[in-house]
Amino acid sequence: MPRISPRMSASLARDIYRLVDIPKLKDAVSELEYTYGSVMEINNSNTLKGKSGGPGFVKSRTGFGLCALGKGAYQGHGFIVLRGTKFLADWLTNLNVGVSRSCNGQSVHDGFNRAFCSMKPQIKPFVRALAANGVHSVHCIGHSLGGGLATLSAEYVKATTALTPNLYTFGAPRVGLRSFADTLSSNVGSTKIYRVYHQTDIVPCIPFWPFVHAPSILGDAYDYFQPSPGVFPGAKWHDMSLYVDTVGTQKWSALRNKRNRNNNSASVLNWLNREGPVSFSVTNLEWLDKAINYVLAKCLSFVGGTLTGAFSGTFTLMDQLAYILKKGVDLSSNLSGLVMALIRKIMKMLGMQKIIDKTDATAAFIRSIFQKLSHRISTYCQKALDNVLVNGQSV
Amino acid sequence: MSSENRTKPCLFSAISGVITLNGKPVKNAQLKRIVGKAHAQGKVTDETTTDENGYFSMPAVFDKVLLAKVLPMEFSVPQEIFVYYEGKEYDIWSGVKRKREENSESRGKPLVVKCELEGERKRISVNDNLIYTRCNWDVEPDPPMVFDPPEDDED
Repeated sequence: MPRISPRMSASLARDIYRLVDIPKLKDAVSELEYTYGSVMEINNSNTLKGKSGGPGFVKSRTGFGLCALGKGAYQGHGFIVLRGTKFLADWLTNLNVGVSRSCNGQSVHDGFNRAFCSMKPQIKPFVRALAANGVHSVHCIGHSLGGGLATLSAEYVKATTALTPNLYTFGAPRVGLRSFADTLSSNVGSTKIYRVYHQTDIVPCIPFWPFVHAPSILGDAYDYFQPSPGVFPGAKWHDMSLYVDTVGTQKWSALRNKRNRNNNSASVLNWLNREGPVSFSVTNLEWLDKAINYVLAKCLSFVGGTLTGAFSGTFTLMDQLAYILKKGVDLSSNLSGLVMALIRKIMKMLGMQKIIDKTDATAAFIRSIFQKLSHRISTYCQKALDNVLVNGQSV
Repeated sequence: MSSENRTKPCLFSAISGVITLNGKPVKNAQLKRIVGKAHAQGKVTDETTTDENGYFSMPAVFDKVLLAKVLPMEFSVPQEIFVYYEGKEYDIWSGVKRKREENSESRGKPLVVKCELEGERKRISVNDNLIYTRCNWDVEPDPPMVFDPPEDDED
């Protein structure tokens, strides 16, 4: 399926903001015709008001966007461009964030899922009519929370049509748990997920583990990480206009694989076993994220279980994590070493001096460490978000 | 730009100029400016009146950034100015400000405009700020968007 260029996807993700924020609908219609008239089929204003479903603006309390059919060079293409509302920070920094089922039955962030569900009645007729409209290529595009919503819309297109969409996100937060990311990566295909993010953009770092990004399969090969200065989150690096500048006129192949280090297991182990202090930075959080996933995957493959999104009130995800890691400690001396290295690393990041050995690693202790970590990350993210706002920048 | 406001996002730059009707300056015309807040629900509204030469001026509007629980978002602020004159309403400015800097609508220069109430409503994009307006000011608009053709997804 043909894809759109980095420049075009970034421009659409940027311009959806002004398209839906312009005060008068007639100007929004004029703007669509003026700017996109050569590549998109702009119907009459009735459809733009979303009255008849199909192509047009999508407006709900928590999300906005545009569904459009291509024309000219883009004949046979469908576009779903989404943006979120002002309610992002609360969701991202909420310690007690819930998980709910996506349209494909996977565990996803409840806030994002609700936002997508509020838009779905308006997106549904457009998606249903894709085949009837001769669409062979669908592009789901968004920045920030809009990128999260675009991710859910890509899952929805894949689950309800015969089409496999392309997904383009810029500075998007993590949408779901591992199972969601894995399923999306295999159903949509890692090669069709263009997740562009600046190194020091805080939003892609949150919500922290157990939320993970897609593509999770071949994630290192199809990684559109973009270097940005420093190790601490910089407010402006989340701005969509900066993503447009970063992308420039480069091709997707040029934007890919920009990391100057390897992300393989050996480098994760190397980070895990490195001596010395560990600062609380975006870079170390990213390493820690990889390390948790690595150690957990090892434990799971040994124990033969899976981490599920089904939590009861008394057995939380944190409990599951502690349980699985504890199993690892108990069942294998190799795993035990890994888990202990992970726990020691986390304790270092938390500034805890206490020296522990294997016998200290009870499920309750592991759980308490992860709870402390979760709290620390939440505080860190909230502080980063606050700094963003103090400096007059926004996320 | 006043220094204390340098770090606060500007929702609407200071704007001044002359309002005309069929080429003649209009005096005592009422101007109403409505600006969306960047990080919260709600709007900021202010008003002014033209003098005998049709001249008006309005100060810059900055976001009052409230800390802690303020909700983050991309900077995208709706802007409107209406003129009320001899019982009629004229929409002379309707746009979205996408850059936080003051005077981004005029690429850093003071925003000084000439607005003809019966003039054509024109589209202008400056620094990604998009405005549909009956006003003119001295500024270079953004170049039109370039649409690359679809690419084959095999590298």
